Amino acid sequence: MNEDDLARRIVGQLDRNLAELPASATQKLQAARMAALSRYRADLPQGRARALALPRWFSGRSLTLRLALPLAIVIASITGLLFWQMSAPHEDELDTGLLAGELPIHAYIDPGFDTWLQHTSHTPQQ
Amino acid sequence: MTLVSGSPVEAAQAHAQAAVPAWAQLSPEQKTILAPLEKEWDSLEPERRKRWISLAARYPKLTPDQQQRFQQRIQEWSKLTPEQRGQARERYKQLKNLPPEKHQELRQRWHEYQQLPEEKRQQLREQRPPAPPPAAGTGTQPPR
Repeated sequence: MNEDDLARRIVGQLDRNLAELPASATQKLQAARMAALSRYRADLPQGRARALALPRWFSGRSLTLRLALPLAIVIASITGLLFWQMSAPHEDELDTGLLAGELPIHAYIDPGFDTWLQHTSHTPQQ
Repeated sequence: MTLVSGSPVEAAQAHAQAAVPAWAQLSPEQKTILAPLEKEWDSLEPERRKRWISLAARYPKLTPDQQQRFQQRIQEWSKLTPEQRGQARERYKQLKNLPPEKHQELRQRWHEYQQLPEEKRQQLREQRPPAPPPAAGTGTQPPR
């Protein structure tokens, strides 16, 4: 007899005996199990409890709802990335603009020119 | 992969150096564009060399005038400190979206500034720029 056969026999014996248990004993076992489970949930650290709550939330929702949240996260991430790329020009683009632009590079770093622009008017300044 | 007999740091440095080409390894086109950097190229930091290779790739898309300015300014740009380059980028970002007529005005102001005596320009450099006028009514504030 190999290990699997032995395991099957033991499980069979246990199941048979379980079916013959008096109702009072089954009720006590069930109450003990519920008490243990409720204590276990109460003892869970906050983060872990939240981590377990999400899969529970998912399992209780329809397929559409379960897909909607990850999809919304992906769309928001892509939108954020695109917005970042469009609003923050790449340094290569800036460097090329500085090197090839009509205004000399020095104009962008000379503090005297900034002051001159301020003094002489309605000049572009930030 | 080449075995390096030195420390892990030396090995990492050797790897970084190998990742960017020496002057002799550049293509003929890259050499033409980056010619002003020929003498200092091999002593440039790997990151700087990578950046220049990346900028050289944009060069063919520029107009002939822009290409000329690009090459004329390569050495000037290369000699700036990282802080100055950062400052120039920030200022460029502020001004690049101005309408064309404002760019023309900026060039005119730069020309006027260049005509000032050096003492006056030095005086301006040492002055704190006055607070900008209220945006309402002037219509001269750049976008953003």
